[in-house]
Formats: sequence, C-alpha cells, structure tokens
Amino acid sequence: MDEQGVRPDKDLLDRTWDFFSSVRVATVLIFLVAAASIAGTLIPQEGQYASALPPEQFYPQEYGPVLGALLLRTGVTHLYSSWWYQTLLFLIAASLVICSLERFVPLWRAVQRPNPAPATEFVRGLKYRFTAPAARGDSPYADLAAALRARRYRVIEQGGRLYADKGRMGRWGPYITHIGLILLLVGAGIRTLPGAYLEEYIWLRDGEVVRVPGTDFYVESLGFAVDFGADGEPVNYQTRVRVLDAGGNVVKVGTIAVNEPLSYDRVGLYQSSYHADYGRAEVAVIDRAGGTEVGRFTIDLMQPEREYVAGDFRITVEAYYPDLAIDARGQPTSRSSRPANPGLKLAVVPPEGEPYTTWFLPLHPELEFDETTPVRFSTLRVEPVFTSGLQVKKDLGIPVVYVGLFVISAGVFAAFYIAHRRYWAFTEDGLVVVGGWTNRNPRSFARETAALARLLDPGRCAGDVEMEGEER
Amino acid sequence: MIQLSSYLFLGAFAAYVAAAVLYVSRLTLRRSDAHHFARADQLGRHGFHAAVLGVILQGLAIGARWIGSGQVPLGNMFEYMSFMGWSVMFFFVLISAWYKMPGLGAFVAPVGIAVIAYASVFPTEVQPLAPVLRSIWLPLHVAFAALGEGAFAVSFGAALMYLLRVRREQSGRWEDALLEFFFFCGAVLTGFLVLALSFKAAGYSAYVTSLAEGPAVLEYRLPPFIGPAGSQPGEAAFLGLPLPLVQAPAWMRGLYAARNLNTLVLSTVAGALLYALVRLAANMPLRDLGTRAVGNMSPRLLDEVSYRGIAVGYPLFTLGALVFAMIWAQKAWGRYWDWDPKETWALITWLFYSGYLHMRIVRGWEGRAAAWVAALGFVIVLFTLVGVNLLITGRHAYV
Repeated sequence: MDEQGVRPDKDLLDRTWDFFSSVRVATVLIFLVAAASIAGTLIPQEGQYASALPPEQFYPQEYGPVLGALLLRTGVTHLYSSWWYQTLLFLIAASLVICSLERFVPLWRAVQRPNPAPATEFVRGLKYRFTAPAARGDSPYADLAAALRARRYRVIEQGGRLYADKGRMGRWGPYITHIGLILLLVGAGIRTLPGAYLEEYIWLRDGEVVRVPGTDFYVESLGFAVDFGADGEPVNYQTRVRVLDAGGNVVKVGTIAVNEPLSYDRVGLYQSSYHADYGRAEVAVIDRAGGTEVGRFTIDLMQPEREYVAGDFRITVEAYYPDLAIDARGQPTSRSSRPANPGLKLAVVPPEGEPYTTWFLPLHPELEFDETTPVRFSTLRVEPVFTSGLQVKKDLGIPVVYVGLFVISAGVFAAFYIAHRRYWAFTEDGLVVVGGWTNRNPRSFARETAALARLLDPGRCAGDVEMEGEER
Repeated sequence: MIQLSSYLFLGAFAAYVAAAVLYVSRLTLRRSDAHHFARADQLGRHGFHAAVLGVILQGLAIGARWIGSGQVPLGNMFEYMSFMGWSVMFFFVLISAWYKMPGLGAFVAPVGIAVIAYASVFPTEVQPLAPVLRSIWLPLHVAFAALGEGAFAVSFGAALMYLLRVRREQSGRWEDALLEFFFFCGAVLTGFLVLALSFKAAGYSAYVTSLAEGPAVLEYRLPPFIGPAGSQPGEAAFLGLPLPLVQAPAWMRGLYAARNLNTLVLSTVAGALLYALVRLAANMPLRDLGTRAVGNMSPRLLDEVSYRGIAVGYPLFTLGALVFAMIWAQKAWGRYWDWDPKETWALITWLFYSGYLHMRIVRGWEGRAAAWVAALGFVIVLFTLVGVNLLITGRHAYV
C-alpha cells in the first residue's frame, strides 16, 4: 500500500500516520539504518579502539584535526548510541507499529473471516482452476470436501458454496515478526530504566569473599579449576562459588563455567578470564652440616603468618615483600602487592645456639646471603592460587528480549515456510468449478491442484504440462 | 578418519568442478546450435548428478571429520567456509530440482566452488576449540547462518542471471558497467584463489622484517612484492627476483596491512590477466557473454528463483546469525548485543535482505532494483565473512 495522494484537509496526525504506514518509507528506513551501521564498523568506536588516549585526543590524532573533530561532533565515534541513530531506530519502531496496525483489520477480515461466496466471476478468474463432476449425495461438494479435509484444509460449506483454506499462520508471519521486533526494541530499552541495568567486573581469588558491586550480596570462591588439553591450551575453566547475602548467610552454591553463568537476584556472574599467582609454598628446613631435614612449614605467599614452627625451630616473619626489588637508596621494597617475586626477612630461633636473622626467597631458595647459618631453607613446591575474573551483568530487559527473539523466529518461519492456500468452489450444470489461490510456492500449489483434479475426475487426462525453466 | 574425510572432501570438490564444467558446456552447446539440444540436456542431467554426488560426498566428509576429531567441524575458517560451500551446493541442488532449471548451474556451481576453494586457502588441520566455543550454540549459530548464506548464494546467481537477461531491454550504461565490474571482481577472486592455492601447494613462504607496529617478522604466503615499512629489498626472493620491490605507503597502518595490499595487488593483476584473456577469447564484454549464456530463459522465473533463495535463506539466517548468536553471546558474556563489527555486519546483511523483501511489495521497486539488491546482498555476505576479518578487528576473532 503506497502513499495515497495527501489530501489538503488531512491534519498533521493523519499525514504522519500515512507517512509511517508506507512500505516505501519503511524500506528506505531499513536501508538507512544499514548504511549508518556500516559507518560504525569502519570508524573504531569509543571503548573499542586499542589506545589509552581519550576520544578527544584519539580521533584527531588518527583522522587528522578536521575529520577527527567532525567525527566527534556528529557522534560517529559512538554511533550506535548517537541521537540520530537512536532516532532512526525510533522511526523504524514507529513504522513497524503503524504498518502493523494499519494492515491488521483488513488482514483479519481476509484471513479469519473470509467470504465463502464471492462472485463466480472471481472464482473463474483465479489462476489455479479445475472442474469435477458434482457428488451425488446431499452435497455436491462431498467428494471435494473429503479430499480437502484429508489434506488438512479447513472447509466451510455455506449458502451452496464451498470455501477451504490452510496455512493461515503464513499470512500472519510478517506481523508476528514485526511484533517480535517491537518486543526486542522494548527489551533493549528497558536497560535505560533506573536499577534495571548493571555491568561490573570482579576479580575473585581462591577462598576470597568479594562484595558484588552494585548489589548487596557477596561471592566467595570455593576454588577455581582449569583443564588443559593435550596441546597445553585451556579446554575449560570454572569457579566454584557460594553466594552470601548481606547477613552472611549462604543463599546459593554453584559453579560458574564458560558459557554457564550463575545468576542470583537477577544478576548474572559470567566466567570471563583468570590468572594464576604463586600461592602456598611448602618449605623444608635442612641442617646445613648433616644435610638432613629437621622440619617443614607452609607459607601462604598471599598472606604469610606471623610465626612458623618447623621441628624445634621457631621462625618469625619480620618483613614480607610480595614483589621484592631494591629501591634507589638500596633498600628492599615491593613493586606490587602480587607475589611475583616474594621475599621474606626471617628471625630464626634454633633449639640451641643464638637466634639470628636471614633472608629467604621462596622462588629462588638457592640465593643465600649468609651461608654460615646452621640451617638452610629449601622450597619443595609452590601451589598456584588462581584469581578468577567474573563479569557481573544485570539486565532486566533480557526476558523481554528472549521472548522477542522467539516471536521473531516463529514469525519469519511462518512467513516463509507456511503457504496460505485457499479454494473456492461453486456448482454449475452438474459440475463443481474450483478456483485456487496461494500466497507463495505456486508450483507446489499447482501440483496439489492438479492432484485434486485427477482424484475427483480420474477420467481426465493429466493436468497442465509443468512449466520448464528454459526455452524448448 | 580425518584422512578419510580429506579424501571425501577432494572427491566432492572434483564432483563440483565436474558439475560446473558440465553445466557450462551444456549452455555453450545449446547456444551454439539448436541441433545439439538433446545432447546438451544430457550434459545438464549429468551435471546435476555430479552436483548431487558432490553434496553427498562432502556431507560424508563433514561427518567423518566430526567423528575423527571428536568436535563439531565448524570451529575455524576452513571448516566454516567449506560448510558454507556445501550449503551453497545443497541449496543449488534443491532449488534446481524444484524449478528444473539446469541453466542455473552454470552460474551457481562456480560460486560454490569458489567458496570451497577459499576455504582450502586456510590451514586444514584440526585445531582444538577455544573454551568459549565448546557449546551447543556453536553448531546452532554457525550451521544455520551458513545454511542461510548458502541459499543467498543461489539467489545471487539467479539475480545475476535475471539482470543479464533483462539488460538489453532495460538497463542503462551504469548498470552495464556495474555488471561488467561484477565479472571483473569474479576474475580477481579467481585470480586470488589460483595464486593462493598454487603457492600453498608449492609450500611457498617468505619472511620479511616489519617495523609497521614495532619490530616483527611477517610471514608471506605469496611472493612479497610489496613489503611492510622497514623491510629491505632482497629479504625474500621469487624466481631469482629480489623482493620486496617496494614498501607499502606510510599511511597504511596495522601489522598485516602491507601483506593484504600485496595479496590484493597480485590478485588484481592475475584477475585482470584472466579477464583480458576471456574477453579476448570471447571477443566481447563478459556481460554480453553472460547475456548470451542466459539466452531467453524466462525473466519471471529467474526473478522467482532469486526470491525463493532469499525466502528459504532468510529465516535460517535470522535464526543462525542473529537469534542464536544473541542467545549465545548472552550465555557466554552476559551481553546479547555488543556492536562488535562482525555482529554489526550480520545485522547489516539482515537489514539488506529485509529491505529486499519489502522492495518486492512496493510497486516499481520489485524488478531490476530488487534484483540488484539480491545480487549485492551476497557481496555483503562475503564481506561479512572475509572483509571484516581482513580489515576490522573485533571480538569475533575465531572465524
């Protein structure tokens, strides 16, 4: 239905309505959105480019001062949230709603309330036609109706006429798709409501309890695990977690794996990444003279204890540097709080003899500053401690989006895979005249019509010759 | 099993090539003399049989690879593109059976062969899947998207035939030029495939210094006539010629920009040679050759086949490239839509075909204009699959 000539007495509302109900306008809008979307993939978007520069500096540097400023001013640098792209989407939504409303009632009448007795000229004018002898019983249509019912047609006999159709859903397909698209846009819009959207990221070390930002609950890691394949690449990784509410009660226990999020209170936790640090180091204390082990202890490199006891030795941690380095003044310092190069200053009280102070580097036990002490330390093994990266995401629009996606899928399959087929029939001189109509796949309908004709009148010769794709 | 799969794959490829050759000879024979119609139609039937055989063999090849590797064979570019090639041939077989239109084969079978040949440019070894790809959504998302794209390829062939068929009566100079450009691009694509596959078969590889994005060594699979910034002449050689001859212009950034430019230039040279050869041999512009090949096939029917390809492909593409993709992204990352370049291009493709479907019900836009959109739609599909990978980086880094 194209624009009808706009009459001068129409007011603004009518004209707006006519504008948006035009398929021509809808088509242009669709291509405009497509063209605009292309620009956003050619210009790297804010937050997607690999540079630490802020947008006001990045774009002029990348595209020159003139083009850079233009891109920033027109919003092409954040195209999909720019006012004009959002306006285009709004226009599409308006077109979807108004086109659907405009055509709903006429289509309802045509599909759900068909006229079983149109003028006989209409039936005669249909493309798919055949005649068959009338049945002898009560109804001249008995054979035809039975054949059509066997083919799952819905048959109406009324006022001496017959109407049959199937696949009504096919006609509704486009409208169902449009409703699904509207739902999708609504679902995507819900995130703009206060409290409906949350996007955060947390790092969770094994055993650690972290408050989930933007919420009032906590997650505790019960341990991270990663499986490696034969080639050494990770195959899967996951975090066992407990969810604790504000009062510290355990409200949920579960596993977060790649592709398998965990959700609590409509907030989803997604396994996103991980890194491994040095965790617990098991250390043996070895008698320097005899070479025998006199005791062992385990240091948590994330957080060492104040004091350890190994055999008859008492060892006090005087200072701990998780990432040991020597500063400009020659003093020991820690570059970061991650145990990348842990170093401990230890006060050792042996069972006999004088207490003394020494240094121990658990990752490099062979580096000794004083080789005259009665014992040396040997690291037996270091267990890794994992820190799991979790994406925190809440979007109350998701259920609506999912329903929208389902409705869209149902709609497109109905629209393209279900054909609406209809037959009208009337009687004339002891013959039933049948005319058929379909909205898609005419060749299959032609075959069905020919099969019906043969069934009802076995004497007739084979139907029309199949049309060939090429000249003969 | 993997070995068996590659033999089956080779067999399927040979069958597709045989089908294309048979279809093209059928048309050539038909156009040369009306007396040969019966003989030509026999060739057409054999072409159809060869295509069906190819589809079956490649189906078995995909199954064998699946069993042999223990993972869905849709995880990298080789697996994806060859599945898409299968889907092109599958829908070609289906639609040509529905419409009994062997003429279509001369235009669509080469498209399927090109897609599969492009797949073979990539490493064919089984690679382990990244954790995020180990999901039921991988086969759902990828297979449905590729099936839709295969049907779009059939529509592309039919739309091109339609445009060639009606151009004498209807088309203007610009459209003729654009049609000729389509053929030229086809020649460039063929040139690329021939070069890439020949040098791959010969095991050619050259290493060139690059200072484009910090010091690095760049591997070339084609002779590096154009080197990156920082490369020195004589670092590589081809037939005794010291290479690279020149450096890529300074404004081209990115580690791979020079290599892509080198590939593009070499392919264009090879394509131009191929184009010139065919044009000289035929002694007419290729669009005229195409028009002669289409002959007087029914434009209405060609238009219907082109529409049918999109009508079959559109729901599959919607489901695979958008619906399943969004559900999977939500499951994996907690965000169903991220405006990543790849997913945006899938949306652009979808919008383009949606526009086509609406054009069909607007008076005056349903004929040639819609056919152009159907033809360009597949170019957009190819850009989404190939161009986005080469030119734009994004999160969709797997294929």
